[in-house]
Amino acid sequence: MHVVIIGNGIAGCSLATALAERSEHSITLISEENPYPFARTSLMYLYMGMVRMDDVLIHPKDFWKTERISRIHDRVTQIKPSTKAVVLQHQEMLHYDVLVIATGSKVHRPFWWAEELQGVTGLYHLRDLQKIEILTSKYPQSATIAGGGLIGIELAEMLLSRGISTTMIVRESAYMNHLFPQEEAVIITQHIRKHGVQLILEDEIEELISQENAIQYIRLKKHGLLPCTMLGVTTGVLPDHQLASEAGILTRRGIVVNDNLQTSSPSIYAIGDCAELQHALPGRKTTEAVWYSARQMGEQLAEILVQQRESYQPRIWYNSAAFFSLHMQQYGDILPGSSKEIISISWQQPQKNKSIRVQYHSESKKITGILCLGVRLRHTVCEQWLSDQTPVEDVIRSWIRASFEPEFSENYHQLFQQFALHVLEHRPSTPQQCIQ
Amino acid sequence: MYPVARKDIFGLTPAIYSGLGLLAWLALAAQFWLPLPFRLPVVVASLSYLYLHRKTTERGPKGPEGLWYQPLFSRRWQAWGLAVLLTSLYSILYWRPSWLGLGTGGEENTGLIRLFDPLSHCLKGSPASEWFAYGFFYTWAVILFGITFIRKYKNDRYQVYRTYSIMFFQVAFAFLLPEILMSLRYPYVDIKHFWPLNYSFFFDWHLDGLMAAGKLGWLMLFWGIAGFTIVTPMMTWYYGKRWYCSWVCGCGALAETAGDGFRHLSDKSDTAWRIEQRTIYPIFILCIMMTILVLYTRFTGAETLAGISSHSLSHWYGFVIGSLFSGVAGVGFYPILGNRLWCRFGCPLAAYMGLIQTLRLKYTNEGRPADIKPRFRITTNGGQCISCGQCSNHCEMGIDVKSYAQRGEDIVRASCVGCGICSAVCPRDVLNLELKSEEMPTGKV
Repeated sequence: MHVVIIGNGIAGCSLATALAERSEHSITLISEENPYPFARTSLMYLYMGMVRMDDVLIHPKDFWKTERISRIHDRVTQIKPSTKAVVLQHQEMLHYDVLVIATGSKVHRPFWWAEELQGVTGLYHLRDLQKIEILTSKYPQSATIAGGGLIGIELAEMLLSRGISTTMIVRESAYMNHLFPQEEAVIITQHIRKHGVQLILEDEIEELISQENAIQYIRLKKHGLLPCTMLGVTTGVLPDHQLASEAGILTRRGIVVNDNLQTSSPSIYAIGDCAELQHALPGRKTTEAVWYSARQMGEQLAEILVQQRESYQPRIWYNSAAFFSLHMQQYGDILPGSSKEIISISWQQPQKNKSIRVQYHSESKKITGILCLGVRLRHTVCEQWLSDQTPVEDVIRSWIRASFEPEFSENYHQLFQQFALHVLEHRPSTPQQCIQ
Repeated sequence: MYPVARKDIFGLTPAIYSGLGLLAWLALAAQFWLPLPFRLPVVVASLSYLYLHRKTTERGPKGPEGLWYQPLFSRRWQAWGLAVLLTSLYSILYWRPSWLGLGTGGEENTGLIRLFDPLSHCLKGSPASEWFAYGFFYTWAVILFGITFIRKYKNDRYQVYRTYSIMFFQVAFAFLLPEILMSLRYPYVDIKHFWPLNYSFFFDWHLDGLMAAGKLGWLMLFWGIAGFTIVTPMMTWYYGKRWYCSWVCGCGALAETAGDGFRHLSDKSDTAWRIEQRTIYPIFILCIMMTILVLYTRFTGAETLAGISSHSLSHWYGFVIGSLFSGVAGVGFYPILGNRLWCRFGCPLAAYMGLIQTLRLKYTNEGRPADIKPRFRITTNGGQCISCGQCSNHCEMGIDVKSYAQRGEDIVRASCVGCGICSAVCPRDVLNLELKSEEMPTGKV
């Protein structure tokens, strides 16, 4: 059987290697971006000169010689489901028995970025990195970033590493407070400011003003006109489903897939950022543009294709991020605001950038989510608690088991545990916060 | 490809240049004006001050900061220049010390080594040797670069504590204590320098020296033997070889401090791993054979065994492994092959501890097979690796840490010296140095 995978991001790469381990199928991995799968998460470190291209390849180049996977560095221009073939830009048409679309995301372009302008860029593709390299090789005095997401922070860190004064325009009143509770959002906001980013909060771009096709100014809703010669747009990503929709495959926001990750065309599957689950799994979104989800999809589709698995079943939700030197881990759901059903126990040491939050159900007392900043938690322990729906009191009593701190580090987990035990003993039904 | 703004071909900033100018002036002043005892302190103090207060960042646009963009740290010609300079200095030190001013045949020291005479007189009552001057420079480098290393990793207590530890062992045990022993007419012994790294421990001159030194000499002989028979295996079993390589060892001390900027240059390929296994273990075996031969000669008086002369074997081991490999190449090639070249490809003590670090003892427990393992490993936090490659890039021992981390596997490798930098630089806190006798609930999630 010939399995063709379009896109060699982490979804496509994980599928290819997992499938090669489990089957005798011949596998073809097509990418127009880079001949070898690489870690997109490392784009910033490449730019900062901390690693080289060879260091960020998922597997060393030699690895691909020994596996039964052929790689094609070319662009797929068309999918022909009727004849089971994909058309390539420079090479001959390729026939498949099973086709997997893993085309990932594309940069979301807000209405004000309709036409290509010199000095305006996203940060997603390897091409974007080359563009940023060219833009900053002339050392602009300053740059502006629109959008307060994880990619925005990465871009800010990149620009600051070359001494370019950086301004971020964020729609929310504190960085990411639509996703994180206010206390954490404030810690992150302060940390970003401490690293030298100028934050403009609660504002949005209205218009780009250009001259001779190069950006000159941006107009903000509240702050008015701002001079700008380089603008990074990090307002999110969208599933890249163009190939699929052109081929007549059902798409909505992304490429619609059923529980087996199968599209509306039976021998075509979709995984990673570009896939949209027909039926949302409990507590999950239908599209998840997250590294960890994409990797799980790739690995599980390999099992589905060799009949070792019934359907896609992601593990307990988790995510991690770095805001400069401040690291975040999240397990399960975290409710940013307050609610009658969900109670928070949260503990912070803002001056040391430490924060731990546990959320649980007000009536059943079952744990629903864990969020921490600046401390390390052990993944397997947290996952076990969440999948077993452990009562919060048991979680707190055995909290130290979840510590993944390096040797000699200060024991913040103990401080949190003492506080949380105190709370549970005295007022277990109201949200509790401790700032030390 | 990448223009470098406001930096010259050496990657140095104007501040460093003005510092160098001032330094040259100070050195000259020290030579001509100051009384001899003040010259070394003035040079050392001014150089240290300039280094620790150098400007590292400048406001306004500048070139890329990463080490792969810095000529000295990315194998460009400036790095080769430094390698040539270092290897030359080592060669002069080993084979032409008179060029540094060492007085031969009863003459007084001159030049560079003369600067060290007052300190040497102070410590042991005799003029400085080239090794005294070298030991001073070595210790000074460990302290100076150790301070910058601590600043760099100030938020990581493991890094801070172990750097204090190597600085302490270098100053007290490698530099001061042997000199003080000599001033008391005892033999020169670095009591943390265990066989087989200290390959001359069982040489005639060393054993004779110890035995002539009375009770203390016997104590040192006993300690030296306990060092490699009891202390090393026990400590390595319980804490991993890092207890020595990253906390105590002198070679490690220089590698972790002065060599820190070169750690990413170690080769991560499978080929390098194969070469490593084919050099480090044979050198360990060679060292054991040489020691047996030397002891055989000592006790039987027979000069050769199976046609091999113990004298010429120990001579050639000292020249090729002791001087050329661990000294000239070991430090001289920092800018080309990374800071742990010797530790990775050559050190027999590292080979010995590496074997213990990866040992598996199989036994049968009530009819069921079981095994005991040493406790040290680097654990991976579930499936949180994002394959960014920083851990592998920073590994001075050339371990492809990422290849384990992205599979959710623990890392148990003979070569790992437990420096902990992979854990410190991971942008997702995925790696942790842990001591666990049972299997931890990690693994891919």
